[in-house]
Amino acid sequence: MNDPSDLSRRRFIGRACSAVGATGMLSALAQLRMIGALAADAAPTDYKALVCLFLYGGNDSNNLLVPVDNTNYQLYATDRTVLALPQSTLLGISPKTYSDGRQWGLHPSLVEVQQLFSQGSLALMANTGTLVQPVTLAQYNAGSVALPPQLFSHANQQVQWQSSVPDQPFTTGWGGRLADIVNALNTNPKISMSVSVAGENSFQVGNIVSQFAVNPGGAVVLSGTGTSGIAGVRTTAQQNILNAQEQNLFEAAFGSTTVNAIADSQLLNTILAAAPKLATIFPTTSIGSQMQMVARMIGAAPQLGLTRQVFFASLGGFDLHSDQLGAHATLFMQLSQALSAFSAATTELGVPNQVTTFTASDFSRTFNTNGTNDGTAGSDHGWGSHHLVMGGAVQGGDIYGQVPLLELGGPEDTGRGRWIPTTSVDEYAATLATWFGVSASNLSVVLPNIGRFGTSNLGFMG
Amino acid sequence: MGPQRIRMGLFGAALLAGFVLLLLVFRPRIGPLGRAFPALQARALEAQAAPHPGAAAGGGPAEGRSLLADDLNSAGTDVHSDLRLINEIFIAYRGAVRSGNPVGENAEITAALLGRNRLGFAFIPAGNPAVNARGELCDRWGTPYFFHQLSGEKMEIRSAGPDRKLWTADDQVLTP
Repeated sequence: MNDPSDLSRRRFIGRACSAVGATGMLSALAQLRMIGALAADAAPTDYKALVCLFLYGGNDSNNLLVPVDNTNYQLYATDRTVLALPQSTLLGISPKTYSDGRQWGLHPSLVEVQQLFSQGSLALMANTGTLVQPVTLAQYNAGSVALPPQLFSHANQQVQWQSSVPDQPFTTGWGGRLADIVNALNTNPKISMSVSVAGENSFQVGNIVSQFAVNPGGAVVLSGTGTSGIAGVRTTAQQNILNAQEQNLFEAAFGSTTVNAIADSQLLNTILAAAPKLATIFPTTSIGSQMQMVARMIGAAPQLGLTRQVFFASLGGFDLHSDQLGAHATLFMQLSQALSAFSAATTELGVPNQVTTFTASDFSRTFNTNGTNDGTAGSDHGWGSHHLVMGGAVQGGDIYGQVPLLELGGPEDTGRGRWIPTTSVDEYAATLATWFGVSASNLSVVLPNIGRFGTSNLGFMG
Repeated sequence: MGPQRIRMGLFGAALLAGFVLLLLVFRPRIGPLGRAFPALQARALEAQAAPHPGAAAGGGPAEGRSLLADDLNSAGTDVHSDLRLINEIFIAYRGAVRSGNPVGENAEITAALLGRNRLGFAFIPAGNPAVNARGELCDRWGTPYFFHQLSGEKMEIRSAGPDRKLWTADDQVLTP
């Protein structure tokens, strides 16, 4: 029998361990409770995919959506100077309900986007950006409310758009938190529901679900491996090393993670090879190839045991401080063609209403230019920007939010036409997350700051 | 010494190690103009030790006055030296203010360097000839620099060069 002092020490250690264990268990129970709540919210048999298309560098959305009526076009052209698009080239659109006295057109390269808008399967989300809380110009100038840290900085704004928690150090992305909750609906997943066709990103970083990166051609396979000859010997040796029982936790985790990644890659490539080929022709651009791969992954979802998928694709090159007009037109043409092909592919796959694609970007750009020559001028870092949301479930053919008064020195201008966002990333993301199946009670898990803003449903998803 | 005492000793050592670790993690921060700001401190000490052309009339330079920008656009140096100096100023700013680089347009960034920051410290003292009437920091040809905010820690600094036009072949750029 132990003496009382020994018993006391043991009890102390035991209770300390119990406390530590209980913390983790409570966290896990909370997670399970959320998952249970979500599972009760939505039927697990329906399929849904959410595709984030990130426009790296800061897309100049001032030339995405442009006023076309004479009065407002003249105001636009006066301040945009050499970056103003010719009025006659703009592609007119007729929003179903949005009305602020202005008439609108799209960039001339967005031919397919205009068609999708007219068909009602694409909507525009106006003047959206990172916010810690709603802010007015007076508050901005007075410095009386918190602003997103490192506003106008590429890397920070990219991360903040993808995390939607600008006032905290980055830990997870809102796509990752979304996947953590929704993953319960994938009853027998063979690979991760979070797939990136554009490499590592912040958006899909979660606590539970890991992002799985694939190339536009398929899963990444280690070079120099195989089943015969020296490649076979090398592969066997590698597998033996990775499968060895390591004492060190990090080595063991590295081994199991690598083994799983290799197995997932092989499985995915096998399933993709066996899947019927898509008849839809995709453009042979980087974004075209990425969106084609996303479509193939959606087609393979039943074989992968997935009823919910989150994808990340990207198009870079939007940081156009110079030579903007020509380069921007090319990027918009690539974007428009890729979106159109992807839309057609989802129809071919029979899931047009189950797939929603949305754009995001570091920020928009300054409304005024940094040069005087239309061949070389560009624009600099802005803030609120317009975005595209596409899919059969989208209440398309309309503009949501509020397009700012396109006037230097206007009520939303923090200088040079850097518009204060009138819609937060949180509200934009909440609308998409709700469509994806997150219940109102779980929305704050995905978007912790959503309670600071006016709405969690902007209406573009019905 | 019995096994129980050894176990108790080990447990005590582990507790002590944990306490020390907590102290290291949550230790009091050194003042921003102290150890966290060695470049500025060294310059301030240098200023106290020797007279300087930029000194206030009637005596040596004010204690703690930043001399980081004093050699900007000076005849004995070149644009590459200017870019390195400005980069040093940003490093000093980050180290002292601890909020990353200042943000915004040139005038907004320059205002922060002139003292509109959390510390109220002028990294570029008022009256520096490199700052124009609009409050913009200018290169040696009189053109405002373009500050490209890559991240909170990385600021690309672009001088328009002798042709005074940004985004042309003679631009001089420092990318940290």
